Amino acid sequence: MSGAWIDQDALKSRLNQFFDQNRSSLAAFGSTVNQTFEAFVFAAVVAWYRQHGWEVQFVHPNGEDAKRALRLKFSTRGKPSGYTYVLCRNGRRKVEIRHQLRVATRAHIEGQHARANICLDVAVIRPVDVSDYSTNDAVPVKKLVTFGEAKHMSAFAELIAGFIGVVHEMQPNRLRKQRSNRSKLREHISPFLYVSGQFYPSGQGIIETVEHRQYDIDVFCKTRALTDKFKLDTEKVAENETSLKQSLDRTAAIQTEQDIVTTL
Amino acid sequence: MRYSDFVNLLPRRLKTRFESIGTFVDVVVEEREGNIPKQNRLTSDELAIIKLAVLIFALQEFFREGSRAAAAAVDEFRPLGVPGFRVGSTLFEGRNPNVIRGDELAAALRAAVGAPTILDAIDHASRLRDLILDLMRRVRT
Repeated sequence: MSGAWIDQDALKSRLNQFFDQNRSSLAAFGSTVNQTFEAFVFAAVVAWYRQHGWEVQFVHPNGEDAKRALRLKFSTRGKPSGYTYVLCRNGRRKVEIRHQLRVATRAHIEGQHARANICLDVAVIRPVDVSDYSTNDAVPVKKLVTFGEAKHMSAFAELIAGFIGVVHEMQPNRLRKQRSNRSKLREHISPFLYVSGQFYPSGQGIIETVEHRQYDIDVFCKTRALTDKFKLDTEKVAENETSLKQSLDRTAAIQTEQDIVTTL
Repeated sequence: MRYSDFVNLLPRRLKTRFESIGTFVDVVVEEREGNIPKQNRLTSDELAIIKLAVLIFALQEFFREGSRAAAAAVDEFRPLGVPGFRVGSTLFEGRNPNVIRGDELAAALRAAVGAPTILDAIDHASRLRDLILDLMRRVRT
């Protein structure tokens, strides 16, 4: 395939035409695609809990009509009470799946001069009354069960390393040698990063080190990888579902409102 | 027109996703050709074609991923009593035009490209690096 096989000028002309004829469609796609990927990540987390036997229910703000499209929070600004979230129930256990929720970091000290918190793209939390929360208020980290982040750029090493930094800030216990066969029976998803761009070799290199360090985190690139992984977990867990549920119900019966991170 | 000229035709919000691909092509080509005498290396025209083909691959994949993500989200929400989701005033529901827009852009792009050799290379690649190496091989033969 040399220049003689490909008429370079004709190809460039046709590509120019494509951009010209599809200008408004490209603009419409570009203005919503990042949020679409965020909605997908939110949906994937909901799917995981539903497939693992949790009852899931949308809770819309201000009692809005459930038949209208749900209101997700596509910005770090905004009161959390103004947006839809998902309430998940499994026996006595309850968690909420929230979009763009501000959560205090592990090292944050109440009353310190500047607040230390991160707005997590998808946060799974123990139920918290956020009705009086302003846009700047953060949920205590002890309420954080797990979380997911969506990044709309290509995955270089720096992006993956940055996510590891976020995990260090929020749930540092995840960065000890955690992964084992036992983790396939886990109660909740692990913190994960979804990248809606290309996976470059430098990023892949960091991921390989995450695997041999056995960090309890996941990184996904393609939509199929994320949905397949969650469904795959469902298939493997199903074999031990009954014994796991019994064990967890016993634990929930005696567990008080303590920091879930310390129990990992 | 250079690679960057085509990237500049994209809407601003999409441009940054594709700016680095041209450089990545240069890196992979240099890795392979670093020890080859200059006169035997890819010509600038051949390199330009490879970069365009890689851009087409990345764009096609990105458009399709956008539609897949939208469809997966609406399909997950629907059985829970929620018909779809909104981004501003843009509603994503079922397989409405907003949901399938990415797939339609991918199809329009393929139709615009036309060149069977490039489309064949793209269809046989799953990763950028593999596509670049395949295109370099095709250029040589």
